[in-house]
Amino acid sequence: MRLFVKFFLCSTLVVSVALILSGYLLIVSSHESALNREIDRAVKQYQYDKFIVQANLLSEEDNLGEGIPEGLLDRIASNMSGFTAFYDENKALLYSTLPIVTDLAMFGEVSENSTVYRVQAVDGKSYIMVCGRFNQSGAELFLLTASDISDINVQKEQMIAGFTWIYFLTLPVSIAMSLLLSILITRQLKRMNKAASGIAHGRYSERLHVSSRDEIGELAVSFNMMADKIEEEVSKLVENARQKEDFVANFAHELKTPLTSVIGYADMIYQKDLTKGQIKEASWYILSEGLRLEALSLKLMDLIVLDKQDFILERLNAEEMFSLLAGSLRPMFVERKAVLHLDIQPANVMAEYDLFKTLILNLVDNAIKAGASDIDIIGENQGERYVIRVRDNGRGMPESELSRITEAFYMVDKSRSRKQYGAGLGLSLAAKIARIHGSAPKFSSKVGVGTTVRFSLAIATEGEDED
Amino acid sequence: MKTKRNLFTALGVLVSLSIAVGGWFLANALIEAQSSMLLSSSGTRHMDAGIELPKLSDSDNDNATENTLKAESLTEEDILHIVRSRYIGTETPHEPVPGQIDMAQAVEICNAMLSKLSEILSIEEEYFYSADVTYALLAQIITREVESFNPIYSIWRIQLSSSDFEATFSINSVTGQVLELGMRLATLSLNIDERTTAEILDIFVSELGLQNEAAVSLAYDDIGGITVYKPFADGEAYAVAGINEFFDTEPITSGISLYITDSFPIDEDRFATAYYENAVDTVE
Repeated sequence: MRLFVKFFLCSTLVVSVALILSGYLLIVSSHESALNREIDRAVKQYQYDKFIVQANLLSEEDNLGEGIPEGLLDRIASNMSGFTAFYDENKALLYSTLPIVTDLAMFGEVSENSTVYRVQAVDGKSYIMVCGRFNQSGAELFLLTASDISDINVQKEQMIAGFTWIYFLTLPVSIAMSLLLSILITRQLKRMNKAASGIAHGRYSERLHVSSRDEIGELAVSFNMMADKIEEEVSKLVENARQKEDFVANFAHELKTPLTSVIGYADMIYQKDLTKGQIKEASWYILSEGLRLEALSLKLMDLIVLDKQDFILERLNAEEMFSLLAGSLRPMFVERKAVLHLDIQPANVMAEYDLFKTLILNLVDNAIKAGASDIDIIGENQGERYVIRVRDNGRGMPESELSRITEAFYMVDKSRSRKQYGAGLGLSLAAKIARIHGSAPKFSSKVGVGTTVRFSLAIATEGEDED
Repeated sequence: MKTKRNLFTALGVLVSLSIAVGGWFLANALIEAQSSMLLSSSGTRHMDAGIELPKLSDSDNDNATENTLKAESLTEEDILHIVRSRYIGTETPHEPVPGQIDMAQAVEICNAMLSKLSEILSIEEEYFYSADVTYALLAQIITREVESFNPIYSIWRIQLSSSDFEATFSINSVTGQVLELGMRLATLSLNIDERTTAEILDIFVSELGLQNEAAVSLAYDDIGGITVYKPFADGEAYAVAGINEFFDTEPITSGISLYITDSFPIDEDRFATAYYENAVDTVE
């Protein structure tokens, strides 16, 4: 059964039961109250009537010697309201204007100090009978009065009729309103269902319009937040998948290219009778491609190792660290005819020396491959982080390439890089090392001017391990 | 699946409507059953019409006398309460409890009062002999201040009438003191003067134990009536006696009234002709 049907049926049931219960209780309690009021009134009226009878008997005291005179009770009854009957001490009827037959069993319950009342229904009318006994001036009598209380039945019937009208008017209205309300509420849920289904079918941009601040509105807000997160994660997954695909494709290509040359030249040496010079040339190509494969495999190994190991950063003195680095890089600079300039502010930083050396080496290597003759390494203590900039005067890169240069195997100029045994993994490695040190390298470059790489290290605080 | 769902929906709607409509019929049936039960009920009321009277044992009933309630005279506070509650409470009739006078005794007190008045007014006693008791009621005014029954506040109201006169008395049911009298003499003209009126007031005040040093005041109304009154309870109430003659009837009829009031008894619009405050010398 659909939710809106359940909701509508429940609310209809609740309304009808509540109406019926309240109508019943109201009518019954009203009827009972009315009856009790009539009983009180009848008993009170009995008392008034009894005093009238006693007063009359007192006045006729002298004439009561041989019983109650003829016509006296008739005279007395004419001064009383309602219906009256008189019985003697033997319960014999003396006078009556009662419209109903008296149940003489009532008299047995009467005592000198109490009156008895009974409600009786006869021929569609209701009466309250009140009976009592008294003795006045030697005359002992039972006095019975009757009051017509049919009006309370009429009142009850009117209340029932009124209740019926209200009930059968209210019920369809409440049915219509509960149906409308249930449709309104479940409509929101239907929209959510449709949006969720769209997301499940790949339409990650589906969102709900939040039109209220109630629980449904909060659910819509949460749904939209969830959809945002899903879209973001899916985008990341798609990007990762694309990167992996590119990685594999590029790796296969990088592997295939040198192997093609090696196999080709080896086959040539095997198949043909070559001159010594030709053999030497072919061997050089085989050697050179072999070296490139070796460089590629070493860099790949480094990348894999970086993913798999946890590295502990140590407290190092920045000036000493760069001084050592500069020393180890000097042969490379001499060989490549480039100059290294250091401008290092004193500070203690947190770093893993070997990794950091690899990072700087890759950046410097990249700069030299890009034709730089001057490379500046600047270290600045900026309070919370130690910012390092590696600036070169190489050929630079277009802005549009900067977002991809840290991708594995990506090369801005493939042919030039391959000539220099490049595989496009150096900056990928450098970026990974920078991330291990809590930073991400930022590249800025201008074609024909040079490139600057900026990253940072944590400043060592008091108490962290000394080198 | 959809067919099953539609079936459940149809069933649910049917059940709901059955409960909604059937519930109405059930409610009606229950109302009728309850009504039938109520309209065949019975019960007993003890002695009265609503107020709870002290439930005395049989031995108490045997030993009860006029002195059971130990009140021979009303206090000023009692009188004030009775007067003030007259218009603000609920009159509740009841049977006399032990210690209260019965109807016959109340009528005797009325006759005794009439006898005294006949002496002062020089009326023959036989004038009052032919009276019948045309009305009698013992009731207490139940107010918010005194919610439970107190026998001292119950009043007998007795009306005696004949072809010659009609008198209505209010008599305290415990002490038998006359608290109020209104009498119209249909066939008699009285010779009224200040002295006679003051004497009647004196009897009234003596009966109620309200004698004090306060001076009697008198006033004449513009149809020849005389009213004398005396303050008590530090001026909070007045005992009043009035005698009038009604000259517009044939023969001339007269009226006597004795009452207690908690408001100033002189209506200055009616009593415009003469008005004597503290007219002790005049009425002594």
